[in-house]
Amino acid sequence: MSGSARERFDCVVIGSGINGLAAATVLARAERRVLVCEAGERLGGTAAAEEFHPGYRTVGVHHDAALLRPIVTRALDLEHHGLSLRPNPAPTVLAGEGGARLVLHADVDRTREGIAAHSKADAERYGAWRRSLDRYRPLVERLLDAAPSDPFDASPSEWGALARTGLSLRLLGSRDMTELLRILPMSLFDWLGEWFQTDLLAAGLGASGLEGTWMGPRSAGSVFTWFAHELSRGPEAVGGPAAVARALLSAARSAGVFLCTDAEVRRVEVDGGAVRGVELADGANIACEAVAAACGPRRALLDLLPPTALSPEEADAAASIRCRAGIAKLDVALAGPLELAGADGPPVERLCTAESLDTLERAFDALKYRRPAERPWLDVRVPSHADPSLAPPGHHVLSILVHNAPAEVEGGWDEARRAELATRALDGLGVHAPTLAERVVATRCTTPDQLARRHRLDGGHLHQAERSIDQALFLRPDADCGRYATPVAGLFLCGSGSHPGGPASGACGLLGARALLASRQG
Amino acid sequence: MASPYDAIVVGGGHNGLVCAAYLARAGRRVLVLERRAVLGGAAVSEEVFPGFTFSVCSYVVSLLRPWILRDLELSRHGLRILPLDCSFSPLPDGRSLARWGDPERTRREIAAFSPADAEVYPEYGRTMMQMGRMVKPLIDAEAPRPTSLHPAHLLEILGHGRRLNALPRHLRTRFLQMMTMSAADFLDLWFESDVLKAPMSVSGIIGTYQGVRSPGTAYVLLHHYMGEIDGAFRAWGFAQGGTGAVSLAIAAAAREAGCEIRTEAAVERVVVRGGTARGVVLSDGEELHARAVVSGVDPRLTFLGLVGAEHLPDDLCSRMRRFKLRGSSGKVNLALDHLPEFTSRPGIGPHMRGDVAIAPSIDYLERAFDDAKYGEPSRRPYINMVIPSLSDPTVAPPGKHVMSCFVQYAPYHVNGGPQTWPERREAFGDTVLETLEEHMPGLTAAVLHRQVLTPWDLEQEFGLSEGNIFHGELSLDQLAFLRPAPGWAHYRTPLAGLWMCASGTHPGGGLMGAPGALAARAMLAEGSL
Ligand SMILES: Cc1cc2nc3c(=O)[nH]c(=O)nc-3n(C[C@H](O)[C@H](O)[C@H](O)COP(=O)(O)OP(=O)(O)OC[C@H]3O[C@@H](n4cnc5c(N)ncnc54)[C@H](O)[C@@H]3O)c2cc1C
Ligand SMILES: Cc1cc2nc3c(=O)[nH]c(=O)nc-3n(C[C@H](O)[C@H](O)[C@H](O)COP(=O)(O)OP(=O)(O)OC[C@H]3O[C@@H](n4cnc5c(N)ncnc54)[C@H](O)[C@@H]3O)c2cc1C
Repeated sequence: MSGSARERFDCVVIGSGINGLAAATVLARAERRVLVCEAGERLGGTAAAEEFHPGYRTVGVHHDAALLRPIVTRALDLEHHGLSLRPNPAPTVLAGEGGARLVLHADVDRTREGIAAHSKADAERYGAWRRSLDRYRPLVERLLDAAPSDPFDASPSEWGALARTGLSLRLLGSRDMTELLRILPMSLFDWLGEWFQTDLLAAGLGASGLEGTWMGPRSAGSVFTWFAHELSRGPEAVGGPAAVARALLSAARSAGVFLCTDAEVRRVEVDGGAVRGVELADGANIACEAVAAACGPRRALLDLLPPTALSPEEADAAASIRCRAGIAKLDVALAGPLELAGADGPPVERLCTAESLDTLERAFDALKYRRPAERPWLDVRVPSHADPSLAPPGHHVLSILVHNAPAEVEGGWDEARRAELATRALDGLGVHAPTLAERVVATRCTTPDQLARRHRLDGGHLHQAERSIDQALFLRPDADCGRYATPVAGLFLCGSGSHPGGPASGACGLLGARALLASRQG
Repeated sequence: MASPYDAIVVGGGHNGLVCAAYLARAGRRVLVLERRAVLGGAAVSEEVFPGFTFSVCSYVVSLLRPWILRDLELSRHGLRILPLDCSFSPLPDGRSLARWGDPERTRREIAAFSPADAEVYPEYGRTMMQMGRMVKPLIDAEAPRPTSLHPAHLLEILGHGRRLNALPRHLRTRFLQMMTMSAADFLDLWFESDVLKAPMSVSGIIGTYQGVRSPGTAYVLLHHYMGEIDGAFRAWGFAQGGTGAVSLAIAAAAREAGCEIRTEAAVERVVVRGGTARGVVLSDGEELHARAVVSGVDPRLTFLGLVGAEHLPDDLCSRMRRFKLRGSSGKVNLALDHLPEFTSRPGIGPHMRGDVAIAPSIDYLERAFDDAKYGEPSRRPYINMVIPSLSDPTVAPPGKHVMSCFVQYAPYHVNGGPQTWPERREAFGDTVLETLEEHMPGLTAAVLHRQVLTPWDLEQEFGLSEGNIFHGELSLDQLAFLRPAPGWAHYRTPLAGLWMCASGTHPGGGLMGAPGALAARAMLAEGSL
């Protein structure tokens, strides 16, 4: 940070993840002088590509690039900055017990054909199920794409937005509205059980709703998190999260954002209840009137602020933000493609090994008792088909989210325990892919404690705060900061710990930055 | 044909009786038909073994609405509530925690585990009371109708919103969080000691197929405070003579108002003609007619059992098939020769006059649920035990005792199917005794008789579908305007002349009386009676 140490910025953005970059770009385009401080050596946060073994690269810690909100793509012209989108993502293979398979295609009818082999009734209902979701989608998207309002504390300027949300709820009609209110607080187990008999299908459809939560499929409210996740799905970024990060970086640079790495913010300076600047770990001071914190909310509120900046109640609320991690990341270098037993047809790009709802439930059970799952279920991607440059010719990389592993295990994580987890995961995958073991060139298993250290994720949690109904909308991450502004004038939260939260949507950064601009400090 | 009755109430559970009493007091001619030989349904006292009277199912009175108590003059009809002054939890390591009516004494007890928690505890109680005041109007009135555009209904919802709005902001936030959080997470916001949190968390799981870590269980913690808000009597109590005394007092009030009550009169089906319920047929073939039939049994039994799918819309029938009942509780009632002591707190002291929770830690409770999730009774269950004979000498011979143990989890859908419960019954009873024996050595030897009720027995004997003690889970998707089904949440049914008045309707299960009273109110307001 030498050289610029005495410089003055309008706004400092903490963290260069997808949300931090989106926020910085929005601010810079509004003629603000913006500096992004990234503690790590790479820009992009958890979306930054990494070489995990010589010649083999990841597409980021995370791998699902279909969750970027279209409002972000449009507002920041990401397609002009090199982002290309494919409307229909690769099909997902659900691998069940005893070689059972089911493929989820973007196309409803193709999917139904596959389901029919398991259950005619389920195939029938699948169409109706998808149609019911399409009816709810506009309402969910409206909620995801706007700053949340607190209906109990709305300013007159928000009444319009609230009324429109109320109206779109009513527009569903009495029947659909009642049904939506009925199912949102339910558990995936009960809701999917009402629709489908095939356990493999229910597990495969439901699994993604558990990402970033501390829940199992029997946990009430998991339908809500599922809705927030699945109904935010849109076109997929080719090249994965890393490609999104690259496009965002290009947009940020062309908007004139200053970016620096190895620049950990150690303190946010506060004077008279308002932000005055930030202090970096190397001692440099940067004056600014506003800080957009795209790091985790606990870190921002509890670690970076001086202890007196928040009232005891506010500090208490921040300390109550839950961020219990549950996912480990396994990167695998493979000398050849991932081949499923008995499968022909196009290569597998996505695979889920949750064979039943009980598989998901048992993996969560382990988490409750601070143990890694005995038989983890895996969300597997093979990004090297779409982007062969990730691995040497003919070789591939697997990006695997291993469910579940807690941030703390009894006795602490060590290399042996990590290796054991990787073995369990690969053994589980090997059941479906007999050639896997002989093709493994290298593996890297990153447990939540390491994610917490390497990527400075609060609690090692991939969404900076657990997803649950009580940490959603204007209560995300807590009631004091639910609309991006914090009790400290000029400090705004705009990472995935804020609404709409969760996956790499970019909308937290976009909406957070807009809230900042609309405020006095903007 | 002129029928002698304005209304026939099917089922003499406490809600059926409350409904009948209110209708009779309004001058209606009412007949109550109860299948069993005794009145009360799940709120019943029976001398199961000579000299020993058990509160066979429901064992503490905490939710009974005070206005019903007053309206029906239940004290004059013989009801006496004996307060419970203590909640005691023994621990396997020899320590124990007792929470008393006396706040100072409670503070000292909690401070032994966590001084911080001891300080916060009264604050927690005050907050819960404040939030309880929010909910109270909801349980004392018909469920709100959020999809209705009727001005009166909109105003009503606005009223609920206003009350919420009037709470200080931090309380409002807590309230909103509490609606969907798990009991364990919610208590984490306040307390650090597992020893305190575990016995506090269990009121969130009573009667549900959920664990203390399941989201949605925090809300039920509030109900615990409902009685205290009313101030009419202490929050927890025994009815003298057992819980059945509540039902008998209500029955006396109903009879005094002219209501006719028949026992051993099982309704076989509801007579439906021209889309209207006209009366009932009893199992012995007798047909009885009335202008209204009120069902005091659970919704699934009402619609699919007594009415029949052929008379009902398909949508309601499929909702009733998937209505979540899946009982998870059992009951073990013991007749004791003498009372053994707790290792962790010797002596037959006042700590035994309250309720005793075997709930040593959150993980213990969660493990108990894990077993049930996968279809097995808990290897080490949560037990809520009371010894009414210490406060009420009428229920046991001199020197002897009765002990009532409410047990979770005993999943109705046990592996092998619910019909295998009879083969598992004794093993289930043994598990309960083994668990208690660890805290109270010598208990098994002191047992003279035992009565073990599995969820299967609750279904077969008490007519509780799937053994659900509340006539349907109290989860958000089955509460208020969704209980028992959207569109049919206001005691009415698709059939003219058929009403519902029991725990499967708003505000739900428990010895509360509110569904019965609100149903009677709705019927009288409609004017067709
Ligand atoms: C294992 C894993 C799997 C995931 N899988 C998916 C998935 O499949 N699909 C999906 O959409 N999402 C997934 N996610 C979530 C996704 O990564 C995040 O939701 C999203 O990237 C968050 O972006 P962000 O900008 O809010 O924060 P982050 O990407 O977390 O960026 C925060 C940045 O702030 C920096 N920082 C923190 N503190 C400081 C400080 N004091 N000073 C300076 N910099 C600081 C950090 O170094 C980090 O780079 C996954 C995440 C993980 C970890
Ligand atoms: C083991 C157990 C413990 C409990 N503990 C407590 C507690 O401590 N505190 C508390 O507040 N609540 C407790 N409850 C819950 C509470 O007892 C019930 O929710 C409540 O008593 C239900 O009352 P009800 O009138 O709605 O229905 P019920 O009591 O179920 O009444 C229904 C009646 O209908 C009768 N019936 C059924 N079929 C027919 C037919 N075909 N014809 C005629 N009659 C029929 C039944 O015999 C029964 O009498 C407990 C319940 C159980 C089972």
